[in-house]
Amino acid sequence: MRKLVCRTLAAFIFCVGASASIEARAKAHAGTPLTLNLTHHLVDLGDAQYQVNGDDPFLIFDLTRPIPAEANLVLDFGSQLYVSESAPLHLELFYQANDNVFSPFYRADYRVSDTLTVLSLPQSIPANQTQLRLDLVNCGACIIQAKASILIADTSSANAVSPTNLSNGLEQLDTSKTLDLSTWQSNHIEGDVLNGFSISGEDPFIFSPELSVSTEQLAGVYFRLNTPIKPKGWQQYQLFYQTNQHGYSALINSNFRIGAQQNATQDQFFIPLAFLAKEVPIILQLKGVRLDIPDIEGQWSVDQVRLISDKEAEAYLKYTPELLLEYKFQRARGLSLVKKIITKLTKDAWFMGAYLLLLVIVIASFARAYRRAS
Amino acid sequence: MNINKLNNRQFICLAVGSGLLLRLVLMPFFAHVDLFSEARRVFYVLENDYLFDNSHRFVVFYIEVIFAAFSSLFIDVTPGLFDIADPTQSVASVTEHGYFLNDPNIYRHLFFFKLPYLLFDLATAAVIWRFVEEPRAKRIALLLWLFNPLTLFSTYIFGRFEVISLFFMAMCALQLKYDRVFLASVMFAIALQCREINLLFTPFLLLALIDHKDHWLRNLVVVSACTLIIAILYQLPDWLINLTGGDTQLFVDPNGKKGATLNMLLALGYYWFYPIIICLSALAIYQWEVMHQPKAERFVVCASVTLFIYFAFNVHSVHYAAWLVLMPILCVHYGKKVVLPFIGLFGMWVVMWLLKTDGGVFTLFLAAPLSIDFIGMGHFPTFYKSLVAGSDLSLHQTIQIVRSLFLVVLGFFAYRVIKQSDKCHA
Repeated sequence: MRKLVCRTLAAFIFCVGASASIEARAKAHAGTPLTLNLTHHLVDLGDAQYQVNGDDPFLIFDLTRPIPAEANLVLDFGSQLYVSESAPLHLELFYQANDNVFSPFYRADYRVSDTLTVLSLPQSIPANQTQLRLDLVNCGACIIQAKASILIADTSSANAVSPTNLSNGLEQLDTSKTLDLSTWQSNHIEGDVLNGFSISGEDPFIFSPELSVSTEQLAGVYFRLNTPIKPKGWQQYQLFYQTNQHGYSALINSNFRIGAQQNATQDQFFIPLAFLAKEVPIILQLKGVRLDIPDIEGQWSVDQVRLISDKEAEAYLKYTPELLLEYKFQRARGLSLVKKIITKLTKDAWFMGAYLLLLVIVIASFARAYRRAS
Repeated sequence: MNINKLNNRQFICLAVGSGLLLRLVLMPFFAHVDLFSEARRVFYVLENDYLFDNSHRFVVFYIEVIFAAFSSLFIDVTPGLFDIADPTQSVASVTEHGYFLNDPNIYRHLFFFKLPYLLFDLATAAVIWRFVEEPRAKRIALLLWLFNPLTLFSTYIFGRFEVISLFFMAMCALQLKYDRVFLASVMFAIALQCREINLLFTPFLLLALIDHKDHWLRNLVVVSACTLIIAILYQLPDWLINLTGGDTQLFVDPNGKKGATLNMLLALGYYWFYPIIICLSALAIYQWEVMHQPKAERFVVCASVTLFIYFAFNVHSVHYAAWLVLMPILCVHYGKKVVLPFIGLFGMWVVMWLLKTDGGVFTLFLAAPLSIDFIGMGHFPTFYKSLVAGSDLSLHQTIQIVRSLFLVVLGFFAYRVIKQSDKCHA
């Protein structure tokens, strides 16, 4: 009994001491402490310390009051975490949630090089937001301190770390949208996308700046290019696209061939992307497009690039290349696959009708011959 | 239904009717990239009017050209679909095959391109029916031909032309059965123009032409004349094309290894080259020793065993196994009991290729004409690895075991084919 009382007393003294130490550090920044609601892939070591033990460590905090327009997040991860200028800690802050499910499209990325740091919070955090989620991207099996030391400061600070990347939701594509070509970049190309260029290397392509477009109503992308007079034959283009699920990849793209018309100096094509939002796993965000162009000498320029919405797709379908192959991240499965097969079969209705008739005739003829032979 | 109680006409109606239906159902919906490579060579020749510029597999190629020309009446070919930038590199890439799979006319193309295969397949069934005489054996032989998974897969799912070559081999055996040795030689020469592998049978055909009852001089004349017929007919397309000023090298890669022609022709690897030579020599000795048997029997038995030897040391591509089917079926006529080895062969072939498969063989890739979404769906080796992950029996070891069992089945088959039937003893 004496032992038990002594141990309890010792534990109490230790906890009070530790808590006093944390609060002392936090006092350097006045503000409202956050309440830790949930941890993921973090082991509770006691004394407000947590160690990473999985691939996806994050903490979810409850907000006790609305975040003001200009606010900072003060973090003190404690002395057991080592970060530096050369090895900064990558943090992701998600700030829009429903029932603990955070949207990946409302996110701020930070790189911090001090365990005691102040993050500048995005002004777009909704006032009614009740939770924040903080992901530790690259700290291995590190140990952090995470309790009263994390708080919201109501004032801005000149030393606050700004987000390296800020995603503030998705742009809804209600109607088709022309992309601003002046911000496009290129590879193995001399000149610029808008005013004209020529090919200067083996892998010529042009690509958009980072987009944040919802795929919900996206039907595809339309290009109109002014081209040099092309040699006889078929020229191969390739459209790459990056999304919230993948970057530009050799395994995910649309290959297509365009035939050279005599003396024609314009190519226009519509490449479908509607499957992004329709096939499993559903992809919600288009983050960029890249067009690989054939290596043909002469003057090129891009006349127009448009993201085509469902509503206006009908008018652009005629520009879909006949020779088109889609290498996709996702594949149709189950009922959606069956539907696609039926759609493809019925596209050539005349042949299918004749084919079914042939099957019926074969069955009837052999059945008749069998009966006669009896 | 007891098929033994059916009369011949009823049986044919039932067997051929259901066999034909099964083939028609498969025809428009499956294809390997090899079919597209072949189709674009054919259409390239048609579109560019290079009708006298290809001597490779002359007979098969021009049968396909004729049917492709016929199919053009029913298909509005998409411009650029069969475009070949460089005819010496005519093997299609998966991307080019993808354009073909996405083409709105894909089902028409596949149906019409496989139409000559269907006709030659049914014609082979007719030859088998004619070759085998005993009523029950006839039915067994026909059923084995019409419903064996090897022919169905290689012709209608993989989409290759093996049945055309097999038809001419069947015709060769039929002519030999009726002692028409010169016609048999003509048929054999045509078969050679369909598939180079038939070269393996040449010594056994020439040995089969020898009749031990005849004077040796007559035998010498017959064998020499037949050799000449085969050699001339084999060279004829090259001569004719050269005479018309054509270019026999249209689809030939100039950078191909010319010194390794024989190796390329039969895909001979040295590690199994010598065992095959030894086994085939032993087979030739066997044929010499059974000279009292009918010519056609010696030929079909030795041709069967030749293929068992060939596939014992080499598996090649999945559809090549279709060569294994015809000659053992013809052996049924001579009282050979081949049904059980056939069942073993079909089973082991399926298991072996399920394990040995890659993205393009024995996978849903072959159903991609129905939907390109089938490409990239998992295959059996992945499933197997996940199933036995951590166990000592790796996929490679399992393949080796199954490969050995395949060899055992071929050995059993060879035994059943060579073994004298009770009927013959009687």
